[in-house]
Amino acid sequence: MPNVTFIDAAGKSKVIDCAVGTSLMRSAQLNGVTGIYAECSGQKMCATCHVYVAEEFLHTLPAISEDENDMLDSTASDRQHNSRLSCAIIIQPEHENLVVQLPEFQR
Amino acid sequence: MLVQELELETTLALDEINLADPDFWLRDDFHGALALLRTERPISWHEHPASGKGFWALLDYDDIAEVDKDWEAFSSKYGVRVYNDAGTKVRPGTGALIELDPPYHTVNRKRVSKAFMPRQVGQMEGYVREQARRLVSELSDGQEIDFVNDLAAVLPFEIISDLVGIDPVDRPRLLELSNIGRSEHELDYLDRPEVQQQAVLDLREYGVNLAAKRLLDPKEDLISELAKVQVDGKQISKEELGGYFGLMISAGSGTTRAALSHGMLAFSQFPEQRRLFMTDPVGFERTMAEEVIRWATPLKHQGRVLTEDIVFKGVPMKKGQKIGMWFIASNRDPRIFPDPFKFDITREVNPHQSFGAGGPHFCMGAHIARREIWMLLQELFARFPNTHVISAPVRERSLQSNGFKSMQVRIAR
Repeated sequence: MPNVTFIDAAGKSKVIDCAVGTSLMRSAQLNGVTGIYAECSGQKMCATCHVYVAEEFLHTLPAISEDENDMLDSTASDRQHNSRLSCAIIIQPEHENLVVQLPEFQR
Repeated sequence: MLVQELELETTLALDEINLADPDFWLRDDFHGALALLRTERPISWHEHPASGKGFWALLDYDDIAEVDKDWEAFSSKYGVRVYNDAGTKVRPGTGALIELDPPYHTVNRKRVSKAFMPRQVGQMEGYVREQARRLVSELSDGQEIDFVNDLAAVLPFEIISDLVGIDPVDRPRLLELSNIGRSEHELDYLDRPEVQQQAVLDLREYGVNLAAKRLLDPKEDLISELAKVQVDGKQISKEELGGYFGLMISAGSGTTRAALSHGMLAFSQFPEQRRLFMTDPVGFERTMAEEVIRWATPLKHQGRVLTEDIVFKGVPMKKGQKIGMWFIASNRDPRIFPDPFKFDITREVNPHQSFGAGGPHFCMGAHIARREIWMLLQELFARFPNTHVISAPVRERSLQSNGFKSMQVRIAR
């Protein structure tokens, strides 16, 4: 099962074990990662599950949908080139050792 | 005691606890009763004393989260309040966002929600702070005010009125109408239900007229956006437009007013929390606001109607029955909130259900509400750190609205 590292805005990191087929957002919630609020529970409606994905993993992610794109324009912290909604990322085997940065604010 | 002490035990027996009775909510031990009911009977049936019509009551955090997400079995289309007009008839003035299911809900919410998203609300911060500061600057040391109507009601109403695009000249009357419109169980209106109903209609009519004006001459405001909303591929009807307007006004004012009022009371009842807050008001902004919102639970419940016969957690439920998600109980679950009856502004993890429980209808105004709460209380205590409640608040008599009708406060340096 892929290990994923979450690094918060203060630099503290937490490594969690994710199940293939669950979203990154849900994996974070199940493993007690704070800093992902997911107010809409993964419907791409709230923009509070925002993460910055490490460069080397960007190619493993699905294309950004229109809905996700709209949400990324509405996040509390600035949108960067590696911004994604963690509810839009479904964990696959190639996400082994994935690293994501949490933004300072989700809301 | 100048301020209410809420009893955490109850003198009621389990079978005597009736959430459908408006007077239950005026008891001093209702939280104790809810805790007992939640532990012993997290799913229970309650009937309105007058009509005999009833509803299912969910008090468990996880059950509520499950129902809120399952919009197919638990629809919002037939009304979202477990009042005594149970049944599947759509009440007048409905069809607004809160009473739509996906997919129409999703499409229409998207149309109006941009202004309420985290980034856009972040950009409003300066404006909200300016409003809060202005209101507080009008107060003076030693002054006694009705916190609910003189302060807590004003800020949220002004802000939603600006967003929606209401002429300042019309605002006092609309505030009055929205107050009366929410007062279904208030004793003042029990024998004059036509007054309350007329207020709802007048508010709606104002919204419809405003929308008609904006349709001809659109501006950069919410009403102009709402006027373009389509339901079932057709132009939104006048009834629905009026319902939207009423929804924006009441959702944007009554709830935040309740939160601010409960927050003021809590900081009076727990002075060490106020002192803590003032040691670092900016640092505590976010956690303070979240705790105020958990503590206040401005909506005691939101309702749904069953679309099919099902068995939920072993309980058989029938199509057409109403079901209430009672956040007022789940927000005091010690399993989720350690020491739940402690008002604690340092809670880092505070997954309260005051804004809903993760379904499609999660509160659109949440980010604005948070800022109104942290800015008004911060500005107030910065200038007047010893402001305190001087007489017990008068509670609203309602199954849903968890606010106060009035609360006397002395402004003090």
